[in-house]
Amino acid sequence: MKKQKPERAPGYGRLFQEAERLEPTPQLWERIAERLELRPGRAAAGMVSWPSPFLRLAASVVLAVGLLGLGIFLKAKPKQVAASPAASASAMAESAEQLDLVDPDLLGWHADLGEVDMEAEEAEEVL
Amino acid sequence: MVNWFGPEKQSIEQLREGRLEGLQWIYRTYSQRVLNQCFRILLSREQAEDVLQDLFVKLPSIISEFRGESALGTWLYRVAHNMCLNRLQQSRNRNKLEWENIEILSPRGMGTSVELSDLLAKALAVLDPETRSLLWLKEGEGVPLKELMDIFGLPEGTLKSKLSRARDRVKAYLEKEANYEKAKA
Repeated sequence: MKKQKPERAPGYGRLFQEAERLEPTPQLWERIAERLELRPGRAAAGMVSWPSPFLRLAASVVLAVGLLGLGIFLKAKPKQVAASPAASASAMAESAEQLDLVDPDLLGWHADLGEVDMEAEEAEEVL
Repeated sequence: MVNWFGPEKQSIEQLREGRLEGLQWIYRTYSQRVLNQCFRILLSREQAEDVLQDLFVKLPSIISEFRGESALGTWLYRVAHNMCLNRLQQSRNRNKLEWENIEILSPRGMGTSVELSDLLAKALAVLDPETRSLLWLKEGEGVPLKELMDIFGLPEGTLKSKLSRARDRVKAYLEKEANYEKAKA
C-alpha cells in the first residue's frame, strides 16, 4: 500500500503558491546605471576593459604571423651574408669598367706631374 | 552549471568586459527573484530594493568570483542572502527592525489576496532570517535541494531537517491563526 504523505496545515501550499511577488520599481535600474556611470558601449567606472574575444584572437594571429615572419627572416639572413662577397666582386668589376672610361690624356698629365716632382727633388739635392 | 553557449554566458562575458548589455540581461532575468528573496529575509521592500541595488552595482567587480560551477541564479541567491544577513547584523536592534517592518510588509499587489500575503509575512516572521530565506527559496521559488546546498553551503541532511522544522513552525502558526479566526467567528 502506498504510504500517504502527512497532510499539511490548511492553506500551507496556497500560502507560498499565491504569495505576492514584488516587481523592482522602474527607477531601480536607472539608479544602478547612474551609480555605475554606465552608458551603452562604455565600460563601467573602475573596471578594467578587456578586448572582445574576437579582438584577442585577431591580435594573437597577428602576433603569430609576426613571429613566424621574424623566424623566416633570421633563418634567411646567413645566406644573405654568404652572398655578399659575390656582390662586392661585381661592384669592383663595375668600377674597373668605369676606369676604362677615364680619358688617357688626363692620366698622362698625372704622370707628368710625377716626373716634374722628381726633377725638382733632384735639383734640390744638387744644390 | 552555466550554459556556456546561451545568453547567460554571453551576458557574463559582456559584463566582464564592462558592457551595459550584459548587466541589463542579468538584471532583467534575475532581479525579481532576488528582490523577493531579499524581501522575505529583510521583511521590508525598501531595504530589499537597497540590497538589490547594491548587489547590481557591485556585480561588475565581483563577477570575477563567479567560476561557473553553479548556475548564475544560484550564485546570485547566495550573494543576496549574505548581503541581507550582513545588513541585518549591521542593524543595532535586529528584533526591533524586523517587527517594525511587519506592519508594512505587504505592498498590496494586484490580484493577490491581501490576507494571504499578510499571513505569509507573519508566518515567515516567526522564523530566523536564514530559515526564512531557505523556506522561501524552497517553497516560494521552487529551488531544488541540490542548488540550496550550494547557496547555503550545507549538506543535504542538515537542509532537510532545517526545512522540516521550518515547515512545522509555519504550520503551527497557521493552525493557531485558524483557531483564533474560528474563535473570533
